[in-house]
Amino acid sequence: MSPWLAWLTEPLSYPFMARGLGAALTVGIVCPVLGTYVVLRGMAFFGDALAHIILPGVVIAYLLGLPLVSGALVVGILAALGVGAISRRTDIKEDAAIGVVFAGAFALGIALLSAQRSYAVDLAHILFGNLLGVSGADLLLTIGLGAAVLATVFAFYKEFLVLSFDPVLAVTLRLPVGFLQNLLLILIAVVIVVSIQSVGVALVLAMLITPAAAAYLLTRRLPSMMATAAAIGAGSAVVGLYGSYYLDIASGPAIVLAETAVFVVVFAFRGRVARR
Amino acid sequence: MNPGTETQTLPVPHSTIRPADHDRKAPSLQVEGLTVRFNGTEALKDVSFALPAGQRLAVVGPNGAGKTTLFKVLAGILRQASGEVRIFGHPPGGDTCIAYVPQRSQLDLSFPVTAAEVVMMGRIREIGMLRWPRREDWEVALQALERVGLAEAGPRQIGELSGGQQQRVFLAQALAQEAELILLDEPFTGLDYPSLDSLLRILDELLKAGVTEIVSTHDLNLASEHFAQVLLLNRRFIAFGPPQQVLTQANLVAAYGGHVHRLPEGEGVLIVTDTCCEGDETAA
Amino acid sequence: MKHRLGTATAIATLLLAACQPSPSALADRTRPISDLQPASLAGGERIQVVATTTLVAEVARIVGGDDIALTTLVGPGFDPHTYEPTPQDARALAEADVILMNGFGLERFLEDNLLLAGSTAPFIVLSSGIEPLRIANGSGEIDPHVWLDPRNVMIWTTNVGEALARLDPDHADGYRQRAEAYNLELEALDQRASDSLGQVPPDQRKLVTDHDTLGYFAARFGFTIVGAVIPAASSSAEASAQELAALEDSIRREGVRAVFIAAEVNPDLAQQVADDTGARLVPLYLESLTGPDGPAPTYLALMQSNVDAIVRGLAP
Repeated sequence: MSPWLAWLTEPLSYPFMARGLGAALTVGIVCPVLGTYVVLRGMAFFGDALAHIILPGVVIAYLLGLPLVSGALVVGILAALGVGAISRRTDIKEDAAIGVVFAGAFALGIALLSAQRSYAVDLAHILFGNLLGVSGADLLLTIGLGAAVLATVFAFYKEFLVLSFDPVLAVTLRLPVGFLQNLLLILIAVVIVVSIQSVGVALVLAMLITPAAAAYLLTRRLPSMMATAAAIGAGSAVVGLYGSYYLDIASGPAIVLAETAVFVVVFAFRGRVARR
Repeated sequence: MNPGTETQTLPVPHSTIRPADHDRKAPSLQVEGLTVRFNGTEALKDVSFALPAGQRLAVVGPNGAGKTTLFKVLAGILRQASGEVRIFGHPPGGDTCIAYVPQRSQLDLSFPVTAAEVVMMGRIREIGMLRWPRREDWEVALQALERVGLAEAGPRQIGELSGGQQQRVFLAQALAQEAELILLDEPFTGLDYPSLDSLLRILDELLKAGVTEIVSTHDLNLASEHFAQVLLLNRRFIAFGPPQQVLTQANLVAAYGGHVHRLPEGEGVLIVTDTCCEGDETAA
Repeated sequence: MKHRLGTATAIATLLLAACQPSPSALADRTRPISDLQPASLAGGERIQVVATTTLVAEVARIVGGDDIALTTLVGPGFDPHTYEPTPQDARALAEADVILMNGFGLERFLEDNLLLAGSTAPFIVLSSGIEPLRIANGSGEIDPHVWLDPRNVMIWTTNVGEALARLDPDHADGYRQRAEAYNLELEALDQRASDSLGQVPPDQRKLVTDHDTLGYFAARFGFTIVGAVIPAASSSAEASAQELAALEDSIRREGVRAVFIAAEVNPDLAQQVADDTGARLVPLYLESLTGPDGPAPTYLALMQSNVDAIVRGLAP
């Protein structure tokens, strides 16, 4: 067997690496698709806030011995709808209000976790991911949720397009704007939850945004922007995972570094193209 | 939704999901005592007028006069505080026979969407949820682009087009909606003369085909030259009717303070401003 | 004017310097037992002893008996490697006459100058006199898990007896007697364990753990450490992919039947390794005693339970 091939296949001969790769790939494909909307609509702060708001949900599920995804999903969906509602009010300073909830929820999560005196490792896993610990059940859940998210984006593609490009038109055309907006926020919450195991709460924003931001510099059509972003995400997931194996570094951050490197390269070579 | 006899110049409409049954003899638009409150202040007070079908109306007034507010109420985006609005006999917010083309500046034109896709957005209700555009939808969209003279611009990203071209794309979007009443919010702003000309010609053709047009503009001369009816607002109703009756010196003072003057010039009237309201007063 | 400014600056600098905790506050306060002086006790007052872990507290309780007032920092079931101290802990330290600790780097949480700031009591390392072992992966880290070899706990017992005798001479005889008595029990435990573990055949005397815990145990009872899921002395380290892969290879190659995990840590990763290699996952009580209702409320019970679990775990 050629040394290159061995080098590629060796990590995959271990089930935990294969599972980790499966989870990372799923997240690497699904996150940037949603991330495209986040980038185009300037929702990066919202996305980061949502990731941090989900922390207490994850912690409570963890402390109760429930699967982390369940706690995260419940809190994530509630948080998405709540933050969405705050954003729609015109009488509050939106970013300050979201910031308050963001910081408060995050502190709540850490406080809850610290109540059980030895929390450093588990907090590290929640914050930065634990790809090596993906079980078979975790992987199936990740793929299932990821597929459901992609199917929803596909089904409501044109409605999300109108909503993102021209919200006033969406109202004029009598689209169910409230439903669609909430649906999009919920999808973002779901992908964040799915990504926590791979890259953790602190880095999930990168999974959402970095590949989409790079794709934005490369293409002027939405479908190809999503496809490019997904390709960058998937490629970075593979590179990051292999990098963590051969370089002995944590896998979540390795993936994010790979994505950031792609962005830097794209930015250096294409960023100077004028976009109106 | 049959807009008239000259069907070869407009996309042939076919039955929509909810066929609107309009009272053909009713005016296209009837507004009575419309008052709108926004953020605690009165944006519009006591506006009343009626517009027969197939006619064209210019809505004029200074900045903040409530022109966009009026359009939003007509489009069903904003609710009035009091008063009645009837569009083809129905209150606003029902079917989508109205197309609202807002001011361009409010959109992110670097969004990765092509001109054809923008036009196709107008057909979203026709296509229905959970479905993709059919061939007929593409045909309608392409015809709409042809109508505005942009048949080849379909595949281009919207931000790549000039201001005038973009305006026409949004007009095509309104056409693809197969609307009978089109609201255009300051479509002439920032256009150079060739684009302006082009746009006016398209609007003329649409008018001939029976589409009712309501257009807001800062340009009082353009309004008086091209529009049979003018509505003058300044947060409240000032005047409605043919331009010579509406754009009197007294009304102009009521609307613009001392900054707009009406000068006789040959057969017509010249309207001159001595200060600029945000950009586009053409002092001819 | 200049004078006063200069003096003020000098005083401020001195004050600031005094307030700056020195980087090795813990090292400064650690004393050899021979240095201990009798504590000043009011009439009838018992000496205040703080023990860091439940294992240390166990020895202190047995040797000290009713003559001491004992507080433990890391409670039953908690993992000392990842323990985060509380304000109550700071107060206990401030009021203590002596603090007994395991040493060898176990008590990372004590390396906190703010925590130590209020305390003037001496810190005693019970493991002094024990030959330190390095962990298996060759990184040179010292393994702190000395208590899993009963003979080390015998050294602790003697040390505690001595320390308490010096601090509280009025009760010195009691301390020394109880220390001797306990050492006899530990001797007997050591013998029993050795016999029990003798049942495990030579080709099965291989241990895989969640982190490097059984070094002293293996050295005492003749086992080999094949590896650990997290090859580090502390459970707070992170596993790396290559190390996990290497471990799985080792497990398969050596035919290891069980992965032994400390009941106080998160078992998920070790569970994966066990599932992937077909080994059993066997919890042991390694870092802490359990509460009074648990299977390991005393050190003797803890060792017995572990020995039995290891014998069963390595059986076919």
